[in-house]
Amino acid sequence: MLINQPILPKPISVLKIFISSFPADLGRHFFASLKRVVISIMLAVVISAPLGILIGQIGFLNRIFSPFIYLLYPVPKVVFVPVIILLFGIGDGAKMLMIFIILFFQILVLSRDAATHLRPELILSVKSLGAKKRKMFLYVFLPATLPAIFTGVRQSIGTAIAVLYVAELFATKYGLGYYIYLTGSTLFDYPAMYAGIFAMGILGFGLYFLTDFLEKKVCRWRFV
Amino acid sequence: MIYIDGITFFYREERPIFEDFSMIVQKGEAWSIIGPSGCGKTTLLYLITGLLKPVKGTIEIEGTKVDRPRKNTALILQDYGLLPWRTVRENIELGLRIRGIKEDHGVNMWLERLNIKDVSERYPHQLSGGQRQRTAIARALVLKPDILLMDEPFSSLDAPTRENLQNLIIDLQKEQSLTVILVTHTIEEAAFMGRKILHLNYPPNKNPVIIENPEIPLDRTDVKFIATCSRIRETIGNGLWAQAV
Repeated sequence: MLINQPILPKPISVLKIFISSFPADLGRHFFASLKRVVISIMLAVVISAPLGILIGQIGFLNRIFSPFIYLLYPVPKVVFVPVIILLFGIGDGAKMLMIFIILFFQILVLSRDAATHLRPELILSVKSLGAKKRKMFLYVFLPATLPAIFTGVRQSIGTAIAVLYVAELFATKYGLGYYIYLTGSTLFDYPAMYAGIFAMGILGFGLYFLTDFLEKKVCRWRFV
Repeated sequence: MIYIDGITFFYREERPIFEDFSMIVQKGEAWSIIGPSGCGKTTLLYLITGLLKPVKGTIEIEGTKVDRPRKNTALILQDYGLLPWRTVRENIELGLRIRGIKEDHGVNMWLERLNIKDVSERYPHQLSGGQRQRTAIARALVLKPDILLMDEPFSSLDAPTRENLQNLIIDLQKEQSLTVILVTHTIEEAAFMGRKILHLNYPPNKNPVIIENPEIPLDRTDVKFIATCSRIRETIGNGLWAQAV
């Protein structure tokens, strides 16, 4: 029975399964994964981007925190999975936290670097207008760092989806990672497995397009 | 009045750029600062602006010690310091927004006066060098400063635009009774823009060398103006700058 299963089904049969199962079963898995990825990315941006900018803006903070960032950034964060499960359980929160931790460092480092390498003339000219640290952050460092944050988000999408697969392998009933593992490794329903993989591709594709769209809206000066 | 009283300044452990240096700039005067690269021209502007603090001595403006950027001192940098993510209008409004002023406060008037109204919704990278410079001037003047400091503001402009903007600054200086201090590398510009010319030399600068140039030149081809340039060239040439070259 195993040998008769086509491990490389025709794309058309995968597409048929995708279209037929998306409104029902696959769709639920898709939206469960979408929710996890989007919330994790948003949390990572909202927390790590301002933190990265602050570290880049204030030399003293940069000197203190950079060694810790360099120490923790290369550590593969999946090693913390048992700790996260122990502390936060096996629910959605733990899965999103795992994705968040990985994205946190990517966006932190990119936004810190962008803030650090800002042209001194820009800083001086705005300081001479009377801007203190808060206004400098708002009018100079935040907008200057936005393109780097979008680059960070684009990089993060790929990473987030890869981590999502691992995170959805345990203790869940919904999510594309669970769906792909269940159909491929338990049910040996390869067309359904490929439909799940295709859905994961669509998930990334949609998120990339959304990021590009938002960047064009927010960073208008770069596209005129 | 800008009163520079015995200032000493150096970057980290380098040798002093200014050592017990004193000078006075009277209200409404137009000054040029000239000197070789690294002599401290830009540093002096930053000290007057309050972006740098002297290690010793004090700088006072209208009797108040300068230890942070002052509300009525405007600074225009060599590359204009315009924010790439803000349109011309938003760049001009920047100082007002930083000070919490929401109203127009003369933004439209300066856009029209400096002939940049048509490009007010463009970003700096969409402008010519002259338009960028006009935007920087508008951003400075909308704050109604009494002192305008300029660091080689015309160095990257073509000759007609440069001369046009030099005339504009002279007109604005007279009209607004501004104290203008302009850093330049060229003798002609120093002679045209400054009724007093401060010649800085290789550090440490201890005593200011000031060249009086009271007459506003009518024309750049005027014999008198050319003679003034020759006189400045001679004064500077007799100094250390020439020896070092």
